[in-house]
Amino acid sequence: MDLSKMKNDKKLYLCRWYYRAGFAFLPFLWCVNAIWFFSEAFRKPPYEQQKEIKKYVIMSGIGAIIWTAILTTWITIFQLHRAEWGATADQLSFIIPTGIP
Amino acid sequence: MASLSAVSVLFFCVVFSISFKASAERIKDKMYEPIKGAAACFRRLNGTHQFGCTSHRSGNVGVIHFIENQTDLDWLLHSATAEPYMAIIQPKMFTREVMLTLKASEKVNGIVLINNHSAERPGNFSHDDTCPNRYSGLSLVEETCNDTKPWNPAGTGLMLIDWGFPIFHIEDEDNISKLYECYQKHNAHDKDEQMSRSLCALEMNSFMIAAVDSETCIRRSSTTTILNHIRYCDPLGGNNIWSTLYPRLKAEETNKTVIVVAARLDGTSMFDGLVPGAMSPVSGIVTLLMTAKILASIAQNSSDIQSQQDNNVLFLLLNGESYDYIGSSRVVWDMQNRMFPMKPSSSATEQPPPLSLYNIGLFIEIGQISTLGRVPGNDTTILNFHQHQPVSNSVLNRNQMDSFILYMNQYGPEVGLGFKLMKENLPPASLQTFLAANSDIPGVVLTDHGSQYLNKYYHSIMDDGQELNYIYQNVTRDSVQKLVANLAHTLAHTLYCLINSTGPCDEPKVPETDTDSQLVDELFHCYLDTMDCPVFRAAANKANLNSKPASFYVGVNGYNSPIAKLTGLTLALLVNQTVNRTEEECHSDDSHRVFKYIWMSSNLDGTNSSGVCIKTTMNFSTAVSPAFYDIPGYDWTSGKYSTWTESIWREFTIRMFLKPSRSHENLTFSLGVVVLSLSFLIVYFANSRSHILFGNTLVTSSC
Repeated sequence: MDLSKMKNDKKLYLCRWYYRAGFAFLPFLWCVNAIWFFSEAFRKPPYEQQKEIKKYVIMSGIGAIIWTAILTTWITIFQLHRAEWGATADQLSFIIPTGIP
Repeated sequence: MASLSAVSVLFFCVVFSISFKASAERIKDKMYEPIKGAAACFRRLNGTHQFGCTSHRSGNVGVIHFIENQTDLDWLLHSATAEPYMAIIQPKMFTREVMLTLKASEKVNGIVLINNHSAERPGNFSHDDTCPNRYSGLSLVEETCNDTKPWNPAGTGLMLIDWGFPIFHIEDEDNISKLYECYQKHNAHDKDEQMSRSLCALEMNSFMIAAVDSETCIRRSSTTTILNHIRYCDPLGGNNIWSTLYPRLKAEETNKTVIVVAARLDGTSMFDGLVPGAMSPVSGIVTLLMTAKILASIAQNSSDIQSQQDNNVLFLLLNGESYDYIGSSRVVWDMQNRMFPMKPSSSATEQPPPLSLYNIGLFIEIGQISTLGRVPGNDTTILNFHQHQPVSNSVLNRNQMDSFILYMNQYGPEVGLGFKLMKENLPPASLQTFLAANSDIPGVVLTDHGSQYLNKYYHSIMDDGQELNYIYQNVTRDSVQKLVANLAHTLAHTLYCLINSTGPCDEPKVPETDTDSQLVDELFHCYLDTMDCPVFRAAANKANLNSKPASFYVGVNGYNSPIAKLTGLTLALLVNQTVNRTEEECHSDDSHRVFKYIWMSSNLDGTNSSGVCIKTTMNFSTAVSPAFYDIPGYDWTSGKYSTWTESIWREFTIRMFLKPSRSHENLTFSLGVVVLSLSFLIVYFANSRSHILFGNTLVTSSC
């Protein structure tokens, strides 16, 4: 979809739905939303729906950053301690690696 | 003219396609020289550790370096620059010190053991522990091995190290010379300038899937994730062989009447498929088979072998004993759970009743037997009885054991055998497992060695017939064939005296063991030279078998090595009770489980078509440690039962190629980076100048 060809109220509708859907544990959606609508929210000359779009973009961005922080922390901890956690770590694993502890 | 040009075009097309295809193959073949027939060291695991070798997932690469002497080793350790290396070692340098130095140096990425059979072999070469099965058997109860005077003084323990790189064994002379020529041509000269030129290198692939320990790999094998299910390792195990002299139709009326004659069925070595095991286990197996044969023939002559008798003899060939007594601990476990020799079935009308540890009146184990104990200048060979101390005080126990030793000493000297009684520790033996479960069992282990093994090649690729002084069809007075025949004869007569309490026993007669030693010769031929031999052919009733020498590694549960089956059939054949049945009628019946009926070739050359139906008590029992499938929640670190497993692997490959110099590799890489950057630049400029390059055409929009 090309945002430049889209009507402003349609943009707002889309941005809002991306923001809402992100609450279903979909941080990637927030990330996409923040990047995709960034220039609409901050670079385009002001228009009626821009204020609300800006709000959703900022909220999505913050959500994505929090998720990234949480995931990075967890992945780091898990990768560092997977071997010593033994059976528990194996149960948490989707694919158990071969040839290493 | 037109047709001619068409034909020529077609011709060129064909030539082009052929040459294109052929050259595509040749590029790979030109780069790599595969080395076929190499045997690899692989990973084994127990309840607490991992042992053996593995490569990286995509193989290990290193520059070839031959280590023939200390100078080569020092150069590699201190002056070599083109690391990583592949160290190529001869058996005499394959010692614990050298190997551990190489491992610690972190300059080697793999090791190749080249074993040229024409070269002189080292004085000792054993890769098992100095105390084999150090943590199992009686060691759970008491000290069994003295570290200052261990059973296997030649033991280097190289099998019990986690190497972290691949180790291969190459014995083919063409391959060895290929490696050597490549090394001489590219690597051996100007060694300090190695960095600046192309070098001959090896790539070895032996990636092992399992890791950590048996508990981990068994757990991982049994979990199924959503995406995939991988088997990481398999428990070691196979089949035990058992047979009784008299059929057991009902339970023995009194305790301690059955004499067990046992030997181990397996050996081990560092390399896959190379376990010749001549002294251990072959010498013991052959002695047991011959004893069974001679004892059966005596018993057949003098009484009705069909009838039930309380005084019975149980022959046991135990598998997996090299790995913490898998077979014997399983037999003991089965006996304790009243499942030996087989799990009672409600549908069977006739089956052998469970035998328990209390039924065992005497346990005789045949260990390593060789002529190494021959007294020089005398015709006597000394063998040793190892007795467990303290022997139980029960008078009945002592009586049985004392008369056994008395008869052996009485009969032995007639055929040039002398016996010595050793009352120190018990050597590593299956008897240990039985004693650990019930210290009341009187037992002896019969071996060629005293307090230390005479076998300098115990559990290695060099424990072949050479050390045993075995030469096929060369049965001399001093030969091992003669010794084994004589020993079997002595054992059989002694056993008969023990079980035949009524008959006279005091007239040892000098045996005519000539036919017996011929048979021993044939048996050794089967076990040491080739499995495609007359006795095995007759027992298996097949015109030909695999002609490779037998390998005595226990293998993994489910994939059974042929040797256990062939040995069982041979035992049945040698005891030789024929019945009058046709080939169609000659089969076993699920409801009558005391006897098995097996169709075999009637004479030992195995070639003719006429067969006989053999009725036998011989059968197999599982030799898998109860830790894996039978004891829920088994404590893997307890050491009570064997926990050995073997990792799964995909392939063993080894190939040689010319590795470019470091500067050449850097150049290639830099060129690649330059080409990549250039291509980006060109595309960028072409894109930004497209209106100049492609003219000012109408820009069409698309949505």
